Amino acid sequence: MKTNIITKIVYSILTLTMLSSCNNFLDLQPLTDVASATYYRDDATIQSGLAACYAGLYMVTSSGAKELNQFPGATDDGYTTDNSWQMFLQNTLNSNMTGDLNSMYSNAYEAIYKTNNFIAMVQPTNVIDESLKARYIAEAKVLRAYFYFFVTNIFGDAVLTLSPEGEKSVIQSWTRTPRAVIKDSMVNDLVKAIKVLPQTAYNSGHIVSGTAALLAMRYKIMDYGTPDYAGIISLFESNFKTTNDANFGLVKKRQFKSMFDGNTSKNTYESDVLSASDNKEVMLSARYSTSATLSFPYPSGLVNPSICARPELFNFFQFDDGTEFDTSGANSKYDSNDSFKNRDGRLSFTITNKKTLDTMAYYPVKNFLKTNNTYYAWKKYTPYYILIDRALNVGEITTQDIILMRYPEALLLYAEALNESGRTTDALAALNVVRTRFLPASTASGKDNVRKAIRYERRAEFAQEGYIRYLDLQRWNEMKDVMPNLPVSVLNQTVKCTFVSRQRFWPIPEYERLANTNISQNDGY
Amino acid sequence: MKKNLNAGSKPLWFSPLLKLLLIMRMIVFLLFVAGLTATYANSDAQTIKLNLNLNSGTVKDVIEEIERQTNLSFMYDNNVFKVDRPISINVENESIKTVLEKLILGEDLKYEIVNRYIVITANNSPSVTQQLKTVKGKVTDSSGSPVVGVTVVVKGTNVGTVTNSDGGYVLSNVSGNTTLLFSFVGMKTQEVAVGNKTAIDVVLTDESVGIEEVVAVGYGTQKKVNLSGALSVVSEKELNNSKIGSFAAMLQGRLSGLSVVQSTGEPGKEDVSLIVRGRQSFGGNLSPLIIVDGIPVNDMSAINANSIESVTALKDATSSAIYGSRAAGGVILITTKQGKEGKEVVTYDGNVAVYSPTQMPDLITNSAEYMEMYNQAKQNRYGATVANQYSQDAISAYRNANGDPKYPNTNWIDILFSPAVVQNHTIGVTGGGKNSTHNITMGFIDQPGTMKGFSYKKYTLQMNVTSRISDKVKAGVTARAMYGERKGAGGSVSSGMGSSQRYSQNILEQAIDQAPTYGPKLDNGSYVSKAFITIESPKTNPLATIENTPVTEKTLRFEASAYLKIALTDWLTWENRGGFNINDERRHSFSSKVLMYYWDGTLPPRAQAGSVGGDLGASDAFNRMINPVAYSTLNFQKEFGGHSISAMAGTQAEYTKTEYFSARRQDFLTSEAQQIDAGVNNSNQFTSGNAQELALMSFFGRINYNYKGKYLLEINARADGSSRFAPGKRWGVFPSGSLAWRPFQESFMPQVPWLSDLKIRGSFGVLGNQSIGDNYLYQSVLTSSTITGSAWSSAPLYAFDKTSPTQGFAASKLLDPSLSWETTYSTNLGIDISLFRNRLNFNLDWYYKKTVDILVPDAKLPYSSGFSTSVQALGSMRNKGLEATISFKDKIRNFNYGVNLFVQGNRNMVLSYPSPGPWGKTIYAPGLPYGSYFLNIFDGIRQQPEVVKLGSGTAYTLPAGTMIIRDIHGPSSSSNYGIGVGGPDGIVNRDGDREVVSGAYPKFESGLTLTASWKGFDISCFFYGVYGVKQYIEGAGWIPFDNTIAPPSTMWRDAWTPENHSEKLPMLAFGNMGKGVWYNPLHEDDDLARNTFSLVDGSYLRLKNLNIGYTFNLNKFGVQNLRVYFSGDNLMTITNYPGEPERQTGAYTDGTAAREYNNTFLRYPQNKVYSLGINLKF
Repeated sequence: MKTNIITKIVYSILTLTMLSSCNNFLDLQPLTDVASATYYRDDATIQSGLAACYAGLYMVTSSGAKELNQFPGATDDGYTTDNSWQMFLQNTLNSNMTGDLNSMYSNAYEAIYKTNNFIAMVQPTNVIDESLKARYIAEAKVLRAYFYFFVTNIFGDAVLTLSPEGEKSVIQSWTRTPRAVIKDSMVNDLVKAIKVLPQTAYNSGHIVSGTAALLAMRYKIMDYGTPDYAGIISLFESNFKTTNDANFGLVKKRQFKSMFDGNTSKNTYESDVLSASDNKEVMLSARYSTSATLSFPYPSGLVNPSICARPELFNFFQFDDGTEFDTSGANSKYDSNDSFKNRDGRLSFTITNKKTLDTMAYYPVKNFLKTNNTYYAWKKYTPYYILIDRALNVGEITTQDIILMRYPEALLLYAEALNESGRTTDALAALNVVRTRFLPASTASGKDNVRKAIRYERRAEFAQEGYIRYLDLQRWNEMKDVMPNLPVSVLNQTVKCTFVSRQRFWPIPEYERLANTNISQNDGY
Repeated sequence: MKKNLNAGSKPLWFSPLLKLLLIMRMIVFLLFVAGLTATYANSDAQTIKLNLNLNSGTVKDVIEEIERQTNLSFMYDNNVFKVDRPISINVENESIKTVLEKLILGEDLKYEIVNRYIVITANNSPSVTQQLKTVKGKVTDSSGSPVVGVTVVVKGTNVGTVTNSDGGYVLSNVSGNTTLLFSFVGMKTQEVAVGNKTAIDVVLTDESVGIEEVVAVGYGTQKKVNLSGALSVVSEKELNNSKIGSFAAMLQGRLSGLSVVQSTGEPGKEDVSLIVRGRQSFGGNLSPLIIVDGIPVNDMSAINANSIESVTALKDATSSAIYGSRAAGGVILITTKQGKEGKEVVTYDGNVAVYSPTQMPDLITNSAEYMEMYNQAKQNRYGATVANQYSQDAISAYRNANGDPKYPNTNWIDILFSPAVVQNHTIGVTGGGKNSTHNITMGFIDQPGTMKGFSYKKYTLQMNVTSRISDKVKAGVTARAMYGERKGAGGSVSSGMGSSQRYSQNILEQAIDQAPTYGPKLDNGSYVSKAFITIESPKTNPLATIENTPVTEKTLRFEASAYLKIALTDWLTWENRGGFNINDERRHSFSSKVLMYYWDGTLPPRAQAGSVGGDLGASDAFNRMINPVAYSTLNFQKEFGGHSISAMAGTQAEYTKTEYFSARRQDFLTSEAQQIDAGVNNSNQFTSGNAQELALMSFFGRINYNYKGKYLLEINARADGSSRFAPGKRWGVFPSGSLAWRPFQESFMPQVPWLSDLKIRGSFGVLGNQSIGDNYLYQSVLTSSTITGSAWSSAPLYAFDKTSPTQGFAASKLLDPSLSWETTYSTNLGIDISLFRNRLNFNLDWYYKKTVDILVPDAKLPYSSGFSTSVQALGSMRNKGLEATISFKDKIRNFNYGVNLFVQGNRNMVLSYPSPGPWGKTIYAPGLPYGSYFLNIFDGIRQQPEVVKLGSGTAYTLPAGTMIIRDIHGPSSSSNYGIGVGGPDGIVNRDGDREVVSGAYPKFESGLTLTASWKGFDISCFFYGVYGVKQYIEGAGWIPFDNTIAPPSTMWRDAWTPENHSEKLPMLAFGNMGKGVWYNPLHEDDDLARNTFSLVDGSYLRLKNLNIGYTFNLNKFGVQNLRVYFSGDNLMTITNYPGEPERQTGAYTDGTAAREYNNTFLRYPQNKVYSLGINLKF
């Protein structure tokens, strides 16, 4: 009897434990999302991971950071009425604000995280050829360097993270790394990438060796410390003078507009349609798609005067003989009937000609635009057919790529480095490669005059192309001279912009500092 | 009326309540019999003649027939007189003696007729009559006082009497071989053998509270008297009164510690929230774990109230820790009725009810008045000459319309709402033999909505079968099925499953956002959009929405389990139960194109038929959940020398898989056929689908020890593993323990006559929570998402190739493998007192719960991590509170009455919060209740124009009639959680001048039940009240001309005007109230609208249910029970709230998005119910 009971008990206990004996009962894999560890199986899956890294370019350019739309408004080139940017212009930025301050910071880091995660996950795989893998990793690293360039130049010192991190305690122990250190780390990555990446033109949408070289030159010219002119010269000469000679160049004058024109097939107005293979000028862009789901909103200057060009920019463009613009009539080039006439050809590709307004379809601020000389509508990225066919609505989208780097920038950085190193003649030669597309060659002499010519060229060439002008003014220390003379917005001409030294950088968002108390704030905020 | 002299049988278990009922019934019967006896005392029973025509019946049938034809009753011993024996008797007008002789023919039996009893005994037993004698005596209690009204009955019969005012009784014609039973409410029943005694004095002792009462606890039952934890129980009987509407809502006010809020009266979507002892998590699942017959279920919707045996709420750590991981929010245990051995009993419960809305906004529906108020509001905002006012001609035309349908005074609410007739039917069959019992219940509810377009039909089936395989082995099955079909309207076809609960709210918003100046349809049936083209811009015509965007939601639920219980020895039982739940939901919606006309019958220029509810077309969505569960327990029980030990050990495994699929097609040429295939087969069709799994595994155990019922000890522990957490962090162990002492069981304590029982309890324990939505918390995953609309934000595609972009896969969340269980520490102290022979009972519980490592789904992360939020174990919160219940029951002759009052209050406080600060009109910060109101303070109405600095300091001259907002602080400070610092700074603005205002949660809530019965009548009323809660109101129905056109409520007739200097209401102002035009009509950007003007006292006291019934005695017709009743729900409400006050409070709802949702003024109204019903048992 006793043993019988014990047997029964033993059986029942066995059953009890059997119920839970399957060790892997609690190991469940996600059914809808793919597990990171096993995802990369072939080239297609790895490319899909890389695509997510590239998608960061959208976020940095048009989504959160508004590289395209807003930065021109923070310079003497344009206006923006966006609240965050108005606060920048009036020096009332504070770390508590939300909006673009937060999104510029967070979107850049989201993009950085994706590249870090990609690199960490692809590194151990062996499903594709090692050299292809090295190339993909190099692309991700160049993208990461691109995002860090943004962070370190807008926010200064920054958290440097090179691998994906999940532990909250680790994340919250991070501090800001001096931006010069970040620069060194990124330039190091870029220099390695230059060697790994293909030495071809940028037309497959993938970053190439030249892209990495130009980004490294950007890093070296910026105010991380003393600009490394020798480094820039050497980068240019080793990457663009010989090896990449045939891969990069300038498009023809009449093709210039086509680079920024959303839909070339509709562009019957221009005879010179730019084919992808002709385009050796673009070196990095955020690529949008004609499949309609991947697009971004046009700059809205034609719809309401929230983003538009300043008269200062209009006045800045020279006559097409290379002389300063002047409305006195002293120069016969001036046509009081059409002041866009006889100007640097880039003017009418950058700013909408008021003369053509009457031929255009209805848009909300047409009359305002026609009569108000403190206001010019941007032209870059606004296809001509949009203007003549129909009304343009707020938020209307385009599939035009946002151009982030062009070859002229490499030439002009090279010219600037040469000039600053005392090689004015060489500098002038490089400068004139860019200038002579639209204007007669410059004959400037002397370091200061050549520098002035280079600065003219940079502004005229890259107006409305993201943060180039903004960072130029910052690194040249010209903000303090330029900004206080400018009205804060087209609608408020009486209040002028302010610039003090703290405006070199934006404040670190309060959100970041609340979530990680080790993060310091920028001076002055 | 069978009266078995069944000496050997003894009831296996009787709940005290049933016992009480039996006693009451017996007393009533005795009085009845006494009366009859008196009447018939002298008639000679021996001469009664009978007509019997019984073929192939049993002896029992004959007995029943004789009892039916005469006033005689049989007395016999089952063991002696075999009544199952088949027999045929055909007699006509035969004397009873002859019949009785036939009945015992061939048996060794004899019969005697004594008074009105026919006594059948063995031949050799002494004659009953010869031994009959008179017994008398006195009944006293332990203190020696006489006990009045004690029932004295001959055991096994209904022969008996009741003690008089001296405690004395006299009972004649008592046989010496019988036993007398002395019973009284609240005292232990005593049995005394008569023998040769003629005087029997009895001392009755008090009975402890429900000494035999057994309550359901986790994985088993316990005697209530031995409990040391805190739990509350409601039995079927107490719920019985009102079986209308949702079962979850019926629990409101019935279980102390459980807060039940029904948010809407929408059929099938009552949105009932259950919270046990306050909110203890930020975003996770706050609902208690619901266990039906041992198996966890998602909600109570499949349960038919008629199948319920009892409901227990496990509140403190000790009672709920056995469910460890999921018990932090409390546990609700539901036991369904099992079949009972005996005759088949069929029950029918049915009622027909008329539902009407409890309360609707009282709006201006007179067009002329509306138009004048509109003009006034517009002029106050923009000046007298503002464009687009109603012309005087138009106003006059409406004023002098004299019923001309061209100039209506449309009440849009009336158009949508009308009383609905709701039917509710349940049929049950219960019974069984010695080895197998069953209880089957089938129910049907047909509930048309009070609002057009909404309805619900529900079918339920419950089947419980128990089988005794041998003395030691028992097995059984519990199965439950439910099919519900809900019809509604107004959903967008592209929205997913489950979002539909707000459709009715959208339609209500559409109804209120209409002017009274036009009707819903033209004579030809076309829909109308507005009357005055340049003035009115209403929302979509609600009738057009209802009629053109039908949504059907079908739910099929199956919950079944089977068990096997084996008594291994008499002290060890092994129980196994396995079951599964299947929940299948389908949703079909359609949205057709509608052409909208102006009230004058013309079409707007370029009018095109368009959608009235988001995307056009048809969509189908399917949701399925399957959830198998199994557990096995070993139960040990032994008693020796005053020690009683019981122990349980077990293991459980549970798995859940949910699957979702939806498909949608947008382009339809006609709305006649509404299935997907009827649409145009083009690229405007979309699909999506996903699936998720979750697994839990547990080991648990419990030890109960008590010594002579004086010292009670319970120790519980449960270890849970969840697939949500990483292998190293997977397991959580949740122990708890409790102690109780019943001091008056101690020999050294003096006996206090009026104190029946006293118990002091205390418990402490740890509970866990892992329920926070994401099933794959710790796993690194890559996500792709489908592109809809613009892609530039977090774009998962990249266009390397401009014509066919590459799908990107990237991590969409940050992994924190260190995440683990959320933990709640719970302390409970309680006292139970029973007084005056258990007539008066008092329970008091105090608790303190602290939850730490709260899993926050959207906790802030530094942006530099690449993410802005992640799931983090952050923050802590505490809840403390008191629950008190007082109940009193008594009986005066045959008038029974009872009172039950419970009061409970919970105080919530955030101890630490991941990202403290204001969020809309609420604030989340340490030291404050979660989601406290954070508002500017309304200080009355400005009677003279005044210069005030607003916002960043700009001075404005504010006109009379505007609101005064108090200047309290200087600027807000992020170090002070966004609360302003310093004293008044002369500038009124939103951020600095807001204050934390109490009222996010009720101060206390209470329920009061009054019951009484007299003879066949019974009445019960149940009041429920919530005190000290405030509701912030927004939107149409509260704000005049919200969204430019919504009519003001009638209270705005008293708005401030230059003539009427109201101190309470500002002037009517037109425009965006969210921007504070009430405050400053000149400058609507000062966001001061969120002030205490709109924070309204939401306290209420409501007669939740009134039930009056009469039970007919129809035993002669074979009907055991027939009760006819009237029942009314929500008949009366006392409140200051200008609408339906029963609604969730503060931040009660789950999740971030819902934080703000609750305060919308408009809700599908709750129902006032008048119903007539019957309970029939035969």
